[in-house]
Amino acid sequence: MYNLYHEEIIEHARHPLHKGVCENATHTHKGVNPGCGDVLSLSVNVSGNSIEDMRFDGIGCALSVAACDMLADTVKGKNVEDVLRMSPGDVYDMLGVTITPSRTNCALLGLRTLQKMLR
Amino acid sequence: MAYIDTKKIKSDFPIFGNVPEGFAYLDNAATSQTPCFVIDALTEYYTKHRANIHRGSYALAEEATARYEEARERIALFIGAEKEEIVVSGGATLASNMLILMLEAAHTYRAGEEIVTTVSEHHSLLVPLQELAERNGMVLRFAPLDKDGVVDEKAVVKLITRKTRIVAMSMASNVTGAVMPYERAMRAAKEAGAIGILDGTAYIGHAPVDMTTCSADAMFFSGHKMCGPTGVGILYMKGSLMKRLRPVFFGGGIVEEVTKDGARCTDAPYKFEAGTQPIAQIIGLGKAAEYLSGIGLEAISAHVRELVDYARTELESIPGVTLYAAPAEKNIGIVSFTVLGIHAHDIAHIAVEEGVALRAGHHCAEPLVRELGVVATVRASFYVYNTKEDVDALVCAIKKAQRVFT
Repeated sequence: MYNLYHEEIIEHARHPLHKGVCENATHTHKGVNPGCGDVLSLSVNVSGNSIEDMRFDGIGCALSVAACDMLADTVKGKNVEDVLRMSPGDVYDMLGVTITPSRTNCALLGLRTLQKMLR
Repeated sequence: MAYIDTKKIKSDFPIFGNVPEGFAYLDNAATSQTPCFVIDALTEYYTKHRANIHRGSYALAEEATARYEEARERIALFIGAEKEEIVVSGGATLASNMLILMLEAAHTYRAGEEIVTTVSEHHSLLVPLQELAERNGMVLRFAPLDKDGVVDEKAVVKLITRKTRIVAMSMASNVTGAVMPYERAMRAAKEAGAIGILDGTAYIGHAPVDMTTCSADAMFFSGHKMCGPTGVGILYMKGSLMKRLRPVFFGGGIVEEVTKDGARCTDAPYKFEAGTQPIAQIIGLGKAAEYLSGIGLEAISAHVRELVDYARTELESIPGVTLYAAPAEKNIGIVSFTVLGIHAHDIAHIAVEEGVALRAGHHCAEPLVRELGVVATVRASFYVYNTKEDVDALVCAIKKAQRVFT
């Protein structure tokens, strides 16, 4: 029934694995969801052209926190160019749920912040 | 005691026949629903009287003009004003911005002069004031709120000094529902020689008002939060202020004469209504005023306060719920809350599954929500067709969300 809130999303939201700040962060950026005032601060450690680590901190709904946590898993070890090429569809696939228009900003807060930071 | 026959009222609103039975629409502070009485008036204009207003001498144009001006009169009556004090606008935000620009054009504001407002303002008033202050080096002074979210009457009066040029505040908060001591503040503004502005968006159509006895110089509100159509708002100005102000939007319909060298504007309120106005919408808004008057604003207010009281009691009994809502007797019909450990968006989303329409976020009043110490609240807002069953559905939705996140 709670399609959006399946077990994996709830688990990532309640116990995010990548919460915090990267040690020796090479980039940091604060992402804001203007619709609700949510703020997620992202930090990454880029070595050469590869993302070694990504962490986030702040306040967000279950969807934005889970999406950010899953994103951190996904981008670890990836090239910056590959991350910049990621699309909203990649995030929705990662979440495994249908994202309605009212929740796209929540789902994409992490990716948009990360891409802005790396550009 | 039932102040309103909600079953009968609900049958006036066709939308409730097109949604699942038991659907609890609790997002009235964002926009209200529309009764047949209003929808029929829109259809009638489009099917029987459609023409542009003024100027046209054929029958349709005469009919459209007559209905447009009748609506102005009806709206004036609804808020206790003269019809010459009613300016039609495209919405509350447009009206607010237009008013601030007109004040700026008509006055010389100096660096250090002050604007007194409150921390609970909607962005549609606050941001234009901030921009005005920025352009002129003016200082914004914010009146504090008491524990119920009501502006501290003594504090606001104390803030108004000879330096104050504008006092601007909402009649009721769109987040906490708190009804503000606006008349006391407007009186103090008048005594200090400042312009008094009221944002009536959350208030008008929800409780009685009489602008004749109110000391405010100007007040604006939107049509769609009081059963009217979208795309229409009203800027009320006292005659004395109207005469002093010049329009800031120019075009057809507001000029007496245009030469290559310039134009001479017509009289108020028409000089503030450049271009083709939202004709159907204003006719609809006039009908909304008539519809609400038929029910009675006192009855609507009492009904909604009863729901607020019930909602406050029920929500307070749920562990983990924190309320941000004025007590019923000081509330226009809005109850905001947070639930421990669950983000506002998640509550609102799960409520959808339970057939409850809510809103989550800062409700375009970000400074207030920050002042409350949260990033977002869930907001339930009540109107004439809501029932205690809607509150019960809300309670179920919150409990369900707690189960999902436990």
